[in-house]
Amino acid sequence: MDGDTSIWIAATLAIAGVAVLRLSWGKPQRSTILNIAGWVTLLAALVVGDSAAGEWGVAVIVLVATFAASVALAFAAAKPARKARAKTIRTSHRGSSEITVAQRSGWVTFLIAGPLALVASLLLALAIRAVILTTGGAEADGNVAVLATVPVAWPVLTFALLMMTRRTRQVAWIAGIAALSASLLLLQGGPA
Amino acid sequence: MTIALSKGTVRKAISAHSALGLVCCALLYLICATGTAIVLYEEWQRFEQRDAPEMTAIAPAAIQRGIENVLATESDRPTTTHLYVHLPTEDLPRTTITTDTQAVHIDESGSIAMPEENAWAEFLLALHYRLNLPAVVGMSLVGLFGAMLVALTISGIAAHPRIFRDAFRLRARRGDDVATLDWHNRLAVWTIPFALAIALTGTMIGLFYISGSGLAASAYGGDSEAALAPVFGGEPEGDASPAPFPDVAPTLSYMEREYPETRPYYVILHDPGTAGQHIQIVAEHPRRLIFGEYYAFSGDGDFRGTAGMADGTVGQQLAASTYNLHFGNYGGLPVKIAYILFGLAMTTVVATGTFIWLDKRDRAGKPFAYLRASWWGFVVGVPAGMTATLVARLTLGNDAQFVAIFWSVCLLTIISSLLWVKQTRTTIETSVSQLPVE
Repeated sequence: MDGDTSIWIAATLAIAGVAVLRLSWGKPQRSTILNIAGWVTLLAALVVGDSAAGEWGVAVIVLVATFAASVALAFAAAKPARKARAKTIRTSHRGSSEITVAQRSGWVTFLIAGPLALVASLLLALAIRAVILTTGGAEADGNVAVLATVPVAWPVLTFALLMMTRRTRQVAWIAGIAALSASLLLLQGGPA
Repeated sequence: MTIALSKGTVRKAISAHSALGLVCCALLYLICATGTAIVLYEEWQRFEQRDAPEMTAIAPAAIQRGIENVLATESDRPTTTHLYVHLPTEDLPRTTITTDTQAVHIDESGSIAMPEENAWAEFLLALHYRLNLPAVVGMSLVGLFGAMLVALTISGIAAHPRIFRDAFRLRARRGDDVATLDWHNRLAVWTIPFALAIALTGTMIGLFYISGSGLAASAYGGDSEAALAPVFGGEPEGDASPAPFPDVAPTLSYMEREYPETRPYYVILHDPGTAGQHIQIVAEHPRRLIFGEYYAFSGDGDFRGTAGMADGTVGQQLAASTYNLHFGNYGGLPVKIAYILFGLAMTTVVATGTFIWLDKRDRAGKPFAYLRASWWGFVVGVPAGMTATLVARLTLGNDAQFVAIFWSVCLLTIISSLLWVKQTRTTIETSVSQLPVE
């Protein structure tokens, strides 16, 4: 089978996967079979896309699936909606402002979740590079690991820190990651 | 399907989501809106200068003539250190030569046709890339906001316990707070893969000055070029003694003969006119996310090898894929249209996120009328500013002051929105005070 045919098959599977999930999630009761069928079809679309054209195929198939979902959403948006009283609206936002967090400075939280978390993430990225090089990995992979780790580690760490209610816990996490990373860098013996 | 997170965790996630969103909303909105517009970077360039010569291909000999013609116009000044020839592509079917001091289009015969004039597209790109600030500060800021977009995506998922069950529920026609919430949640959920791909690649590009400098400082004595050399290839040793300019035609013929499946789209001359000069050809590989592969040639046209973007280490291929994945130029117009649609969705998500917070304040009886007005002004001001600068480009020309026009329009829309709210409030208060007292 040539690449073109495979990509078309993958695209069809992606659309079918979204359609099955739409059907499944539109039912009043959960349907485990339909849910699994939908996810498996989407997974199959990605596998076929990958086998047809590697990472390019996966990227294209993700776009096709997202587009198919957008079309389904457009239909949902066009449907008339029953207007309920505001107080009956179900939203997970209810009560979010009722969280009782110990009185603490927003600036310190910003400092911890922002610049300090960035420094810890950078140290973690450099430690990952050290591990890659120590285990015989290529220098290019190590260097790209630094560039690619920071964009993942920093936001994850920021989110995790913002979820913590105690300041000591936030500081402990930052200090722990920084210390662990720094010791890995020192063990490697400094610059490569 | 419901993700089983405790109520407390969900509430904390919403709190984190709100805090991050409020801190980042304005610049994130600007970055998303300009990013959506800049997907059509090549098309905007064509639109800006519609009379530039276009061609589907150009002969290697004509390219060489073009290079010689451009270098001849610079004989009265120091020779350019680099010379770039953009070859015709499907998106931008023009041949453009750029040196350290000028950029010109050439025609199919290699004659200089006209200077390149794409100041508006460049302004838009710079606004997205570095907020029109100096590169180090601007790119780092954009990278920072990209990282926060990742954090917002993660916190948004954690804050939404019925993420899949509600995935197709969009009560848009209610036209109230619920509709705003639904637009925000549904568009955000379905653009998660897109948003993560855009945010992660954008952050990787934007934070280069921070992560790259950290890498260089820790392992290469502060030399950023040395840190990148293992990934993108290094510059060969230079030799400044004079030498005749190189002939690029044989290198392009070599590419056609040895790599017929690739599409060369850039020829780069390094240190032309010196004994250390060398040539690089950047060629696109069909159905790959990589921006292309570097094919290196000596000044004499001898092939030296590739950098490994297409078949090197995983890290090299990953690094080479970030740019195309971010800007959506890997699948022609259909992919660009998809990026514009999903980019608009992301822009809407950012805009509605702040409105949801403002609605919540209203429901709690603590409204921020002027903050809401400012946000409305900014949400309208950014597209209005982009449109105004485009109109300025078409009416005032390539030298229009795009940065000043853009920010003036943004400021004006915010002020107008604030004044409108003030006027409305005054009218209501006056009407209420004139009601008869029983």
